[in-house]
Amino acid sequence: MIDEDKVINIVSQILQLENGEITSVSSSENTENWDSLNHLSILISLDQLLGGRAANIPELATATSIKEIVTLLNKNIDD
Amino acid sequence: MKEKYKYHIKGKEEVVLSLHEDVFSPTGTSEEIIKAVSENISKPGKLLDLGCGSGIVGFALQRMGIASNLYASDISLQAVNLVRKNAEENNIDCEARDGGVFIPWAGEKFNYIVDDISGISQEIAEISPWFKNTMCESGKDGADLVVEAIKQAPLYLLDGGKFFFPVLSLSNVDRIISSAERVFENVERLSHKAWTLPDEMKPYIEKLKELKNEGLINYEEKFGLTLWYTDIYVAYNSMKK
Repeated sequence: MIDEDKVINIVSQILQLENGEITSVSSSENTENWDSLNHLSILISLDQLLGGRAANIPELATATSIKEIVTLLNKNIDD
Repeated sequence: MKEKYKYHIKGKEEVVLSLHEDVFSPTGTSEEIIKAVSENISKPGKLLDLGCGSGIVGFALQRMGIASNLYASDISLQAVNLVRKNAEENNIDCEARDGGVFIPWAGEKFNYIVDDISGISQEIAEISPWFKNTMCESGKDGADLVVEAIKQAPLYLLDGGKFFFPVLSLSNVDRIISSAERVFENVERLSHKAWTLPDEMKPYIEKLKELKNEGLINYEEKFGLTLWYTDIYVAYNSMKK
């Protein structure tokens, strides 16, 4: 299982937000600065964290919420 | 005349630029340069914006207090005229001159030179949305002008001065970096930013593949997207004793 907190930490770092500002219900719809450029940076950081295993999941390109990202990572990556 | 471009600076008056269809407009790379330079200069100094386009890099750094004296140049006279107009409209003191690479600055020296001269493969420039009416004579591997700027830069730097330059993966990264390492004692990467390939360029993916296979550019396929990169570097020599 991919730890949701790790995904939240990465999104918080990329969007330069304080701890607690990103939660399990955060998405590009309800979060300032979560635009397409920052989304790409989020994906690249996640891919680095996961040793290159996220790059092969094309659905991540349009997964713009914590919930969607965690679901896709857990569905596609064996930990 | 195109629409206005606005650059927001926290706690400062924003920079508002007039753009022109025949002058290179600010891009994501321009913003990455501003960010990297501003995070890596602690002491204001005499700053040259080389390949200034509409002026955004120098103007933003001046407004941030990093450029105590601002100079800007571009090979395009139209760009230099636009910079002069933009400087006046933004109440920014900037000496702008036209000419290629360092030609306008004979005998001058700067604390900081920020290079934003065209740095992508000329063949890519022709199919990109960035150079529609502006020239990009950077060679097939996109490195010619950047390498020329790197070679000449030490002549125009004051003791302890720094040369900042972007390296785009749509150019020959190895040639640019090895050139910088031959000229400067220290070459450091300050930032790394990924971008997706613009929609206008997707029909030309075979051309990109060809250039990649020749080792002239680089890009990656990740998340079902075609990604290319901008890295911002700083190069400098140790202070003379």
